[in-house]
Amino acid sequence: MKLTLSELRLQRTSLIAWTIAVAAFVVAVVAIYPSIAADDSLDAIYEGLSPAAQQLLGGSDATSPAGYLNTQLFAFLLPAILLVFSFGRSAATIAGEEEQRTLDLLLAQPLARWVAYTEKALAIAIGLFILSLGSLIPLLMFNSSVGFNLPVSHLIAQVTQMFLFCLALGMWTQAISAATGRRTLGLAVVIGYTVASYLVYGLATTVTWLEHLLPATPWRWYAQNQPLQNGFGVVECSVLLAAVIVGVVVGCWFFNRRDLHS
Amino acid sequence: MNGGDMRCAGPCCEYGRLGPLLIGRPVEVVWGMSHIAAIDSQNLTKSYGKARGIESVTFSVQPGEVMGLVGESGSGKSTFLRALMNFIFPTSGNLSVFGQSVVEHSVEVRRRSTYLPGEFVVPPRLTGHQALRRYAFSRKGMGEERIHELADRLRLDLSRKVGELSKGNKQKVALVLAFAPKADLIVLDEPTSGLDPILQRTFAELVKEVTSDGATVILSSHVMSEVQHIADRVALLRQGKLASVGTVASLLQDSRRRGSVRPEVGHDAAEIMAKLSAMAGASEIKMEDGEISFACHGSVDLLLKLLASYKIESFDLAHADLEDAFFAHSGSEDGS
Repeated sequence: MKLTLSELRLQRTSLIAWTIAVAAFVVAVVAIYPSIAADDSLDAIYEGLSPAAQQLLGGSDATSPAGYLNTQLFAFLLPAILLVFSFGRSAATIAGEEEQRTLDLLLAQPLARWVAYTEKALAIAIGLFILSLGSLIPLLMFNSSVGFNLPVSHLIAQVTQMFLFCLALGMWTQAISAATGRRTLGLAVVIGYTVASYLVYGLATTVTWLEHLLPATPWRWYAQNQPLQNGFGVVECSVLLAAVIVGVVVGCWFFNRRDLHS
Repeated sequence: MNGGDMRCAGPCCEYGRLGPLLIGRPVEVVWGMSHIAAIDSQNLTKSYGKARGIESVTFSVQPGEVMGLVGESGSGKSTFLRALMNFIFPTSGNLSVFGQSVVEHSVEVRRRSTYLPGEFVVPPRLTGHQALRRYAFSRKGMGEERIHELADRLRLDLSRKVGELSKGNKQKVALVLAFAPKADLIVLDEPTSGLDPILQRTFAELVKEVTSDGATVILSSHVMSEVQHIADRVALLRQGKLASVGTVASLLQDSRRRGSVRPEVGHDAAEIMAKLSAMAGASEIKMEDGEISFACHGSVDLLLKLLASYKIESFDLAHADLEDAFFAHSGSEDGS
């Protein structure tokens, strides 16, 4: 855990800034809700969209509490913000240090490579967890006062699935970057996959053959069970958690067996 | 020099009359008690596709010894040290530290070793103290007292951010990182880069202190004079291959010295030239403006005896140095 703590210590200023920014964004979105709740015109806009666009933007209901949070927060914007954090940290943690030539010094210590890898992955997970808490706490605080009155378990389920979704993609970014020693390669592959799978997730509502690809899209496991309305998706959480674990194992395996760049 | 695991590892055997008996055979000679080599490299090869790494490097370093790795840029010095730290995996051959394979027991090897990289890079926003904490968090025996003692000796302010430090001061942080923990093996890649002459002397003292406490030091450098003064033995690397390994004295013995002699007017310079030409080990004999210049290998006894029968106005013989030895072994006479 010493490396994990060292990583968190190194990043604490930016982590605090990220957490404040995420919390402020959630507060801003939540604070607007009372003035929108009674405005049917927003629903009309969403209902006018194609099914694919509705799927991508979180549905056609934009004024009910769950619908509002889905469309304005969880369908795209908030996970996108957390993904930026996750991608950046995951690519930088091994390959970034290697490119900056600081990894040699770190690994000159009596530390197995797989331990260094997993401790760094844990630091990313903790960072993402803190950001997720930064989004959950304002929701819990204002749940009643702005009139959401959503079950707390549903809010926790939504944030948990978002956390696992961002973590899984982050762990695969780390895996590819660490396996190759190239930060940009990991970023390019996983960002490309994330964007492509987002389009597949949306278009599958109208292009029937794309439905077969849905299980391969992380968005399906993140959002399709609508945790704000239905609570925890055990299968969804399990799949996302498995993706996290497999990503870490694959990354460790390759990182353990390759030469570090000088 | 320590006794123990003795191997003849190159054209310049450091074990004197035992050498011919040991050539080509890794033989363990017991001097009172047996012990394991601090570093044992057997036919170590590292290939990078078409790029050169190191090829069949075989030598050993005894506990308490200071081994210098010298060679031109790209000769394989850093490759060897990086293999030692298990940053890269050997293509073939074996490399062990205190009897443990650096691949199979890399954590244990690094537990007993500290490392100074060729280029010391840490996040610039960290202070010296924070850098030490980040890059030595799993080191034991690295007390604050030792850190402060080293910082004082190196005249280093650990409270300043690394990004604000000069190259020399960054190198001091790297030296603290390498010398503060208790280590059995200290691996130093170009350790004095950026240090002024006074601090180079402090560095030499530090090496002496840790080896007197039983630690082994392996250091790479392209500054021959530095290695000559610090190392007990030197391994010369050329184009990834071990050109020679031996004590500094034995390498110097093999190296060429340049000299000149001016006979008194009226004495037969041509006769001196002829005798010098016939003398074993002498070469490059020339005469210009009445002064004979020459190069010679090995003992100067014959030379002095030859010159003793003439009246000499002036005589000069340069000290052999490791640079000459290096170029002699690397086949580059002019150093280019």
